[in-house]
Amino acid sequence: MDNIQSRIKSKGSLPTVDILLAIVILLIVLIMSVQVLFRYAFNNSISWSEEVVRYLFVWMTFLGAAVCFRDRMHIRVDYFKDILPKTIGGKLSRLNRWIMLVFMIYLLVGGMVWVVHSAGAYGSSVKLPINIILYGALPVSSALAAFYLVKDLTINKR
Amino acid sequence: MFELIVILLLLLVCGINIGYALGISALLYVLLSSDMSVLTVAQRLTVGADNLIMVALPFFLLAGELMNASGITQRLIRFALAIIGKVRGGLSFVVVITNMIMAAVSGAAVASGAAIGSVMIPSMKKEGYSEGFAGAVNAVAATIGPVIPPSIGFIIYASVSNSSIGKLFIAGTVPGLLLGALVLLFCWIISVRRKYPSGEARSVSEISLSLKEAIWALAMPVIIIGGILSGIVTATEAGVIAVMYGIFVGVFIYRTLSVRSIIDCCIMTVKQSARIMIIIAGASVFGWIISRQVDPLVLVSFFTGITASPTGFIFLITAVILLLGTVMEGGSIMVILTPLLLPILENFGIDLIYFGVIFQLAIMVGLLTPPVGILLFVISGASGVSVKKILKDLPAFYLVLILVLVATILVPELSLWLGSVGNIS
Repeated sequence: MDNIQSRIKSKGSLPTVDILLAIVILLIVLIMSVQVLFRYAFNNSISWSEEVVRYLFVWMTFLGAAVCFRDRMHIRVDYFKDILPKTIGGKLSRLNRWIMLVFMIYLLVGGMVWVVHSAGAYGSSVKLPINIILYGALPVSSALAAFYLVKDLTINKR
Repeated sequence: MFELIVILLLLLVCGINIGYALGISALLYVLLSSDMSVLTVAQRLTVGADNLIMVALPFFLLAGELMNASGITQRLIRFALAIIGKVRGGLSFVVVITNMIMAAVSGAAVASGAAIGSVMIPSMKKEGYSEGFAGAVNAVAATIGPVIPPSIGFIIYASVSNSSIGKLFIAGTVPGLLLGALVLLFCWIISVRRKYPSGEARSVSEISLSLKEAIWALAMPVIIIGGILSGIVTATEAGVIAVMYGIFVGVFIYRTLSVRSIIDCCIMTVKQSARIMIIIAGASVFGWIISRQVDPLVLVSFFTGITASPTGFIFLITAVILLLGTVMEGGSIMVILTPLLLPILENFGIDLIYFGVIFQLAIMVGLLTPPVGILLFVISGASGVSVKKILKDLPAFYLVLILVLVATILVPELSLWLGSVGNIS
């Protein structure tokens, strides 16, 4: 369901994660614009741009997906849950959040193990430790998603 | 493989977020019936999200958000009112034309459709159109957008089928225009039969004034489609240019975009993009496991056993997509189904670009079919017209969509001709 209501002009201060995400996408736009400019105006391509955009895009995806838990924006099939009686539907929603929480803990632990395993690998054109700047996105954002899920489970005790 | 799909369906029916349902069923499969490492799923999820082609997705979403936020809708409606002039059922024409131009500017067509509906439905009611017809026209007009480039659906399909975004964009152009023309024709027939009012004739100076305002929006599709068709830019580069152009027009020409509204657009885009990307990442894990465990020939021989003709197969799959479309969001159907279909398509020798256009058209029907037709609820929510009333006036437009769908299946030139004359890189 497209979340039209949340498009309505929001005022007041934005959460830090949201600002961070806005900066990430603006950076991606900026780097790609510079790349397009260099390619066509100066006939010269930048070696590092695609790699950096890839890393930023992965972070944007996973952190954005964590924020989608907070804002309940994930895409799912609601139809069958909605035709159940309200009490059963509510219990099912709660169960779903528990299942998601367990999966997030798996991704957090699994992601961290992988970060440790792949220590020492560096990017091909950007000499940065790839285990942190690429593989680190999954455990960090899974922790954030788990945080939002726990908050949701403790606040909505129905 | 059977148990993998059963687990997935069970999780989906329970309402688990689709991307994670794909990941969880893959994890359960790895744990219960394979000797793969438990870490596989976490690793493949990152690999699936690390997809450079998909960077085009947030670009076109952002360009659309920026255009919507800069108040382009009002300007395009004014322009459409001026050029339509004195035609029977004029306002319904304005809805369709505005949606088609918006579609060529924006990747976020459902949101654009809602924005147009919230302005147009009240004024249609005031002029004596029935509520149901006003809602139905707005709903069907919003399905034209995702077929005309730029289109999020085509970007998703390109990524899961490994085909060119640019070629898909160009391939959608003719079927999209055909759909628009047929919707206009049906609007005219219905308006004449029900004696809906004509629009007002406008003077030349009014037309040129509204054109001056709208020209900045009208130039965008020329840049995008022209750029891709001539091979000057790739689709992703066209997306970057669209974003920069959107910011430029919103800040310096229309002077309606503030720093805060740009940031709001960015945040909305990131969330929209992430919820699609997580499904693509989940599906890549799921697909990776299926490809290791299942011989694709099993699926191929299953389908060749049912029908030997490629066209027969396409009609069969289209029916499956239409059926799934009644309960599931279109992009997700694309992400899950396409990898399973690829070996079969190859076996039948079906062109991937041609099939992509058919897939996208079939998904558009799903936007309008209950119980889960996103557009029905969005238009109803934006205008206050009940879904029931919209549905009463929709059958004629279902017919239009089905006609275009069948024509696109039977006449491959509709989707493939334009690309063959261009020089897409």
